[in-house]
Amino acid sequence: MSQMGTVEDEVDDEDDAARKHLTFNLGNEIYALPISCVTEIVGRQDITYIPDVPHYVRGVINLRGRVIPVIDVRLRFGQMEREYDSRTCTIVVDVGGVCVGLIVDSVKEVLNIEDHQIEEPPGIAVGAGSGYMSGIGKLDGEVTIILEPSQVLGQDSFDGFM
Amino acid sequence: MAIDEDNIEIIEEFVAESADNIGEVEAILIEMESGTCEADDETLNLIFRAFHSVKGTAGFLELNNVVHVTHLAESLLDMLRKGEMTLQPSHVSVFLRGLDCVNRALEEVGSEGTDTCIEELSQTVGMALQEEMDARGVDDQGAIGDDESGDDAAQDVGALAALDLTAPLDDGQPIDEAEEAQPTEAPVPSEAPRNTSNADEYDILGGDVDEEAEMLAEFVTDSLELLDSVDASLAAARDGLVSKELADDGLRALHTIKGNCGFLGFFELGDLCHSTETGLGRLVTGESANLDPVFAAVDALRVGVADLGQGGEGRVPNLKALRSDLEHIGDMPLATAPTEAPPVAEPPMASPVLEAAEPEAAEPEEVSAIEAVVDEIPEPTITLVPEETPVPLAPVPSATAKTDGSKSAPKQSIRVDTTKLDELMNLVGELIIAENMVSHNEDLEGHEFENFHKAALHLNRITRSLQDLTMSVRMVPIRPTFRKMLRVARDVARKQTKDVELVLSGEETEVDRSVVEAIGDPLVHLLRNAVDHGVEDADTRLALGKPAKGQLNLSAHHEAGEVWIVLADDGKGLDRERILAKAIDKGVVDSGDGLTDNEVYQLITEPGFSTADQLSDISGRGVGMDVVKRNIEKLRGRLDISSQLGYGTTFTLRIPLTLAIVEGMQVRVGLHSYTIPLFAIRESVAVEDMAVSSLTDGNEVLELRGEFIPVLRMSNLHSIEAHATTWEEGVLVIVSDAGFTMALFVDEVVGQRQTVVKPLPGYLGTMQGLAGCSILSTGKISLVVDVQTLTERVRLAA
Repeated sequence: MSQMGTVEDEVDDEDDAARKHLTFNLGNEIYALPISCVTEIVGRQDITYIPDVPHYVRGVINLRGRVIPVIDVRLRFGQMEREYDSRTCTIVVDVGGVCVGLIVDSVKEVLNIEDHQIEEPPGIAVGAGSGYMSGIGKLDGEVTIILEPSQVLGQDSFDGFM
Repeated sequence: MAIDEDNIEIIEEFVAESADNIGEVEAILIEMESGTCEADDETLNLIFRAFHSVKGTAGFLELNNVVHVTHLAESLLDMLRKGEMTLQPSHVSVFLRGLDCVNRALEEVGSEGTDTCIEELSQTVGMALQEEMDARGVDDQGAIGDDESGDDAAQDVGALAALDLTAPLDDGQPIDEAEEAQPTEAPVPSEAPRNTSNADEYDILGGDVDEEAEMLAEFVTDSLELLDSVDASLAAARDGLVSKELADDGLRALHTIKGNCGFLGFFELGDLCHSTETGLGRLVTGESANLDPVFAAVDALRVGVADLGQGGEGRVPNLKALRSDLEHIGDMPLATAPTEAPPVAEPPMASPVLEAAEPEAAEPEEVSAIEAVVDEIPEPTITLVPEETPVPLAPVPSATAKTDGSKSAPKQSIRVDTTKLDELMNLVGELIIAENMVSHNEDLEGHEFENFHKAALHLNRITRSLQDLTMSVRMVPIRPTFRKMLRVARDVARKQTKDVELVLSGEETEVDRSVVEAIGDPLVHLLRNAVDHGVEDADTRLALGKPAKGQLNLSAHHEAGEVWIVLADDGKGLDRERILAKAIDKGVVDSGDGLTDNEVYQLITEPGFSTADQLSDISGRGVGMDVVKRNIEKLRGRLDISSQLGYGTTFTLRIPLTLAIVEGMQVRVGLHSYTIPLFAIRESVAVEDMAVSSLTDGNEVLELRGEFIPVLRMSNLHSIEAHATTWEEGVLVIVSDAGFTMALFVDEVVGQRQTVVKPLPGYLGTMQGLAGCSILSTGKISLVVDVQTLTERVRLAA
């Protein structure tokens, strides 16, 4: 992602921004999103149910006057539903001007992932979630799944999207 | 020329203004051509002025290609105006080409600041214009000159006009550049050539009363502001020592006023400005330390300008004395009784016009006015200078009153970026929500705070007014959009060699800005179809007993919270049977049974229903019709079609007045909140269980005063859980749209409120039955029900 301008201050230059990732947990797995697409992280929000949308779209939230849709990332990845708790977070991402909240189990940290730490995702086209990955990062022996934000939003699956 | 910071605003202004000008001229030209508007002097002047003002600023911005075209267009217009030739249809065409050319350039100007993209085009159009002029074999050609000198002349005039046009707008800032762009030193008013050209300009302006009044009002306000700034810089001077910087500011301001005076033909004021400049100049060079005459002159100017604003002639009471003071400013050590000194020499600036304009009969009054000034001047000036307050200096008390009065009188307007307006709208929406959160805060429950209650009420009133005002700011007349359609109709008619007349009405109808922007395209499509396929050719029409000229009516009016834009033609109309046959053939519908005419006509908006070879003459109606429908739906509007075979078709665009705010009834279903637009609600009723019966197909109907109304449970519609299980526990809200009535079953009615409707995120796709959402005072989101699509859905299912 070359989306710049959404992350302020702490990012000095483009290279730096490209390496920085926000990691979060779903169950035992660690996922990473390029920080350039993350606008903010908010806690649990009151979700307003919206009819006739894919099951992983939980509804909309009011983010200081802006109404944005929220996706349950667990459901999006075909995983088991889980009760929201105090650690549940909504990561607000902006992908090409489309603002969406991603509900995750918990947010971990912001870290640098260098190019040499990233491997191509294995070419096994099995399982629902294979398209969401842009790579696999190996950091301190932990496997981090680096996500492709636009795929997570799944824009192509909506009729309203052009 | 690359865009630099200073020029951005000027360029933006130029582009916006020129676009307006072009749109207006286009409409007039077409009206002239069609004969609905006479090609009299007034109209020609109007067009001339439009070209002229584009040329002026273009010259300043060094857009030579634009200048070239506009200049030649002006020359041709000038000949028409002088009666050297009469207006031909070919003239209109070539003018329109010129406008198109400039229009194209504007796009590039807006983004790049250059007009190179029309380099070739401008030459071709220029040639065409030139040919039109040559065609008449007018000897006058020398005046227009060959391209080279013509260009130069154009630029000179352009630079001059640029000064007039741009300087007052930007608080004196760009004047430096304007002066640089000017080839010679500041033009001296007494110079014969300039005076004549001014006289010409004045004649032009004399053509249109409204336009002139507008320019005058602008001049008055601008000048008063500039005079204030002169005062301010003078007042900042200490001990009579005027620093160069301060004086330069003052000189610039005066110079601008002088230029405008010359342009508008107020020579008396212009001359006084000039003298004031001279006087101020002497102060800078140290020839004098006496500020009084300059102050007096500035005040006199203000009186004169204010007089203009009040409809007067801009007479300055003691002009001669003031001017002589200024001329002799270096000679007099003190400010005492300056008027005693007789005007020794004829002021150098006095033009013949000035003398003629100053009848002797006015003398006695002038004398008394002079005395009044003499009495008052010295005192306040002395106190004023150290205090740095420009305003209190008022030699003639009534003058101040006049000034104040005239300042509020002229209508001022500014151009605002629409994104700023949208942001403002959003913030006001937020404010209303915040106000609600405060006034109805949960913490207040069970308490009685009298003072808080009063304050909250006050806050409520203010936020409501603010909201109303913000809404009104977004409303603009539909006129420019309509005017553009004249051109569309003309071009299509030409191409089809048909003769049509487009009559506009309700142009002043105000609609939300976003609506104006969005209806342009659909209207073009509809209009094109109407001319192309609706109106028959002249022979057919005559054979049918219709007038040869096709008649199109485009009108707009407000109706029930909506804007209705109606386009009616007197063409051949839609053929219900043929459309139906086609639709059945394509499998869009099974049969025409039970379909209303409107429903059948709606079929032409189906995508793919349009290709010409498939449905011969009616087919054209489908071209772009799906685009039209989609665009209108985006505006939460709808398209109604009515037609009578052989007599014409009427398209009615029904669009909500505003996309932003809705008076709504808030209802609750289980844990969910919905808002139903009030204008769609007929009533809400609590009924006994007996009143609703289940039909065999599972649908339910309510019997209300002998009428059977289909019932829709909101909980079923959105697959949510409702609290009310029996009819008695809930409420039925009766809604209707387009003559179809139905009942929505909800748990309870919470209340009525005005809400800011926000669109649902585009990410979610098109939401059937939802018009958007709004944020409640609690911060929760309420979904706004789209009654129109709901009733449609139920009606189709029934």
